[in-house]
Amino acid sequence: MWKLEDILDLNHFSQSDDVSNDDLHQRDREIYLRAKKNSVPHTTHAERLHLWLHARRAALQKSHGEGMHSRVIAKSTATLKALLFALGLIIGAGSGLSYFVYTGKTPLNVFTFFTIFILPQLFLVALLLGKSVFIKLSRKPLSSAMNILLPLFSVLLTSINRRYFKAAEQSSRESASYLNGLKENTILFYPIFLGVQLFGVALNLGLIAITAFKVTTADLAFGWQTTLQLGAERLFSLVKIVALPWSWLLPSEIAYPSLAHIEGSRIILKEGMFHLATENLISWWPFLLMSLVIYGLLPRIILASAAVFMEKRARYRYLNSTRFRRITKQMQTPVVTTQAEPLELISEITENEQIPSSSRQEEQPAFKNGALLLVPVDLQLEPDSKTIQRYVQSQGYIVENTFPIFQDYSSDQEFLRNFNILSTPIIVAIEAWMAPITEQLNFIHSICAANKNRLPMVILLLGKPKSAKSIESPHQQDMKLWQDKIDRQCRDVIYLTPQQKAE
Amino acid sequence: MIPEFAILGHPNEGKSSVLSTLAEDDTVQISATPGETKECRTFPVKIDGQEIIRFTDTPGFQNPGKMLYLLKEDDGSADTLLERFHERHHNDPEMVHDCELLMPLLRGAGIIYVADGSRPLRNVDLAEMEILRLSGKPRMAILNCKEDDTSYLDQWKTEFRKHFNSSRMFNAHRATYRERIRLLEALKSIEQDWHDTLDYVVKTFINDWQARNNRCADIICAMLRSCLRHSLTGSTDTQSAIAAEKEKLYGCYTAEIKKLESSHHQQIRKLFKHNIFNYQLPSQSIYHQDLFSTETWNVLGLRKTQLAVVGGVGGAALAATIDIAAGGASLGLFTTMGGALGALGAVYGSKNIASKIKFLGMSAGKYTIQVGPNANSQFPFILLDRVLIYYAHIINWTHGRRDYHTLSESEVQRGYSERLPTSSLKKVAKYFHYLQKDLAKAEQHEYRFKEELLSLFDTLSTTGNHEKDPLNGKNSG
Ligand SMILES: Nc1nc2c(ncn2[C@@H]2O[C@H](COP(=O)(O)OP(=O)(O)OP(=O)(O)O)[C@@H](O)[C@H]2O)c(=O)[nH]1
Ligand SMILES: [Mg+2]
Repeated sequence: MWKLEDILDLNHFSQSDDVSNDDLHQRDREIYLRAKKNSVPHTTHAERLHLWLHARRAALQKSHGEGMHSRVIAKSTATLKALLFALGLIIGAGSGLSYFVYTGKTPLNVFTFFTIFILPQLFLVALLLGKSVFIKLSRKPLSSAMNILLPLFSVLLTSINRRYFKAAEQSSRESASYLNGLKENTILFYPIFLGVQLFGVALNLGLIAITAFKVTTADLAFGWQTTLQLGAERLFSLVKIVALPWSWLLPSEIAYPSLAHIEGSRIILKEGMFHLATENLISWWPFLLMSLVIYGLLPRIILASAAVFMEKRARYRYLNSTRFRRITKQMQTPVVTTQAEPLELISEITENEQIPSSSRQEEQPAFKNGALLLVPVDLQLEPDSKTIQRYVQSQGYIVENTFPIFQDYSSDQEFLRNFNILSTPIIVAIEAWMAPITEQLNFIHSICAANKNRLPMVILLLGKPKSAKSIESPHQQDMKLWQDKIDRQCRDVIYLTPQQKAE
Repeated sequence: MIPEFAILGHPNEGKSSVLSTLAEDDTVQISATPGETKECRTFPVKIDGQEIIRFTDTPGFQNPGKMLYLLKEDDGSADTLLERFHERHHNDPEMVHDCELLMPLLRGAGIIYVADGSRPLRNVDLAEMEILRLSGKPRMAILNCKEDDTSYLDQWKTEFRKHFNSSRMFNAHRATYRERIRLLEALKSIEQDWHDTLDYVVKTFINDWQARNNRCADIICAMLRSCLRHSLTGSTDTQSAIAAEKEKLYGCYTAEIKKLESSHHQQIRKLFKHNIFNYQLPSQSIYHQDLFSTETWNVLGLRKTQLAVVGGVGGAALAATIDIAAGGASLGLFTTMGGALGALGAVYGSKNIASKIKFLGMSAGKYTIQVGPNANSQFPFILLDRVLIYYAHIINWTHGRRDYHTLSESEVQRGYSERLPTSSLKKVAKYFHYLQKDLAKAEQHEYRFKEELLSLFDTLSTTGNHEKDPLNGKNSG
């Protein structure tokens, strides 16, 4: 069962949450998982919401070490209701007592009883019904009413707080913030409404009690008088109509006074009251009592129970709104993280140490006699080694032989072993668009190291092939990357790159 | 034991990019220079704080040929082949990367091999694949095409069939949420023992994505609520200052709305785990137009005919919402009161009673000017369009993609709301109407609007990628 303070707290907590915060998901999820582990009920929306509320309260108490503000509000609302009820009793009884001050000279006028105690009540109820129908029809939001009611309510609450709960330090602003967001909601409307209805119930109870008390302890005489041309017969039929709600239940001599009784209780001023028979004068009281019960008490009881029912319904709706559905949904959604631990900051070791400035002799090929052209085995088709050879020759080099490299580790090693005895200049074609990897760089470095005679060495840097019959130039940054890596170990390398064809 | 997947491959093929996208982690170091990753880095997939599976990023192969040669030379037990290799060579400075990348395999990791499918296959690639085959680990291959060239795909696929249990295309720069899920699904098949765990992971991921979309819808609702209800009041003493005050308020109002909007957009960005990518939408995007500019209002939002359906009015961004209270004939009551109070103040010797007393939020004796809430029915649609454009970019911008400035594809030229079918349009318009008029009702209608949003999100994330206009399906590039 949800209490008012639960609703207020739920409202407060959910308002203070920021939907986008990931940690909140984590928090809500933990609440759920903890409950699941301890097999606390957690299967329905309401149960989950209870769990959540409980956990949030516990967390708040831990951090603030104080009770919830909402408890005070709820308690003062309850007190307010009790006060209204007591007030109703007092006013009802008081006004009844003052009415029944019976001097014994003239009987009490039935009409005055009706106009004071019954008609205004009926009028108020009719007004209330009329207004709610009007609100329904005009589709006006409740908020305009609440705009006025709420500040009054919170002021009232705080003053009650001060007096009865010694919570003076809790300012009215604070309680107003608690009620924030409920303005558009009927939830807070019904407690106030119920309080008013309780007042009405109490008022009628007080009145009925006093009437009953007076009837039993004093001898009351009721009569009627009017200046209007209203005969006893007319009055009788009126009385019968008024008594319709209960006349079927009670024997007619109790339910309403008979025609004879009515005629006998007519007060005629000039005649005084001596002619009036007691029997006629006392025939009125069951009728008046029943009128109070049916027209005063009953509507208020109905309205009060309606308020209780409507309040429950409003709470149910509120708790099932998207806002709280979202929370319980979040509780059921696992928290997923896929990110790596944050990197600890490693001071970037720059690989680009100062490269010994190799005097690049790109302008003039230093040799013209036959060279050995090394072509990666991958370049058998696109561009084929013939195209490469043709290109190299077009650049003024004579290729005596071509040899495939990067077939596999053992054949490359074998080549290097034999290379030691070679004495021809070397041209190495490299796919510079691929990442330079250690084993290929090592191969080139080995050639450099073995090149004891310091024969000229040319490295042809190729771009990503497009067709078998053409060669491409590599991207600038790829070229630079290879050159830097090669220059780290080799000196005097001549780099050859196909020129970008004019577009 | 926690199933582990090592991302292996040649240097610079996009291993780190693939993982960054898969794990939605934009802190991964990615660089055009090969050899960026030097050490293994683990990406645990945690569900409720518990590690379920993990992915490991590794350095690229540096000596595939030599490695293969050495492995083949070893004729000891096949089960401990890698262990022996590592044992022998981990002190060799040349082989640091090669030994490092074996670490996850020594722990029993499965293999995700990444290669750029838009380049021709090379001998080194074959060596790498052969090494992985010799490892005997469960393995799948991924083609991450860095360029659009598709002529080498068959070549790759043929080799993959020989060396791997399964293979897939997965583009680190374009993979949508769905493609991430499909990749994980495919991983299930490479090792039966991991099937159930991966199944659980996939289900949780799907669930998580839905939850995020849900929260995104909530953020959008919150944004609309705060933007539509935002208003500012100011006051002046003299009638002549009204125009200036109006101007000032209007400026503040638009600035505040923009701030509100952008803070909610940032929340969406955070929700989809983007730290670096910061609404770098194409600069020519309509998104970069000012929220209140005529251009924006011409392009986004509803067309005239649709506005008729919705029953609202379009027009200037904010014109009709400036409201001057007090001093006006309609509020004669308050001026009278202000005057009376002023007189009272004079009697009692205090000059300022009148201007200090507030009556229902209005200073008596002053001209109160209120800007907003914006009652224009086009306004929420503009906000909606903008946030949808933002959303589409955020979710389709992969975490492995770092070329923020290069983005230049032209993008959606019109908003999404004008393409809403009438039935959806009515639902959305109704919600907007209540947001502007009656919050309690709006809250009741919120779930219908959210349903519409979620289905829009769905459309925006199925097709994904920037070259396509998700709702038209046509190339706008
Ligand atoms: N166009 C495009 N570029 C990509 C794609 N994937 C990766 N790249 C680019 O390729 C380069 C290398 O990406 P990384 O992810 O660092 O590659 P890696 O395999 O981790 O490289 P190392 O760690 O150096 O071995 C970066 O410049 C990326 O931007 C892709 O799908 N499309
Ligand atoms: Mg990397």
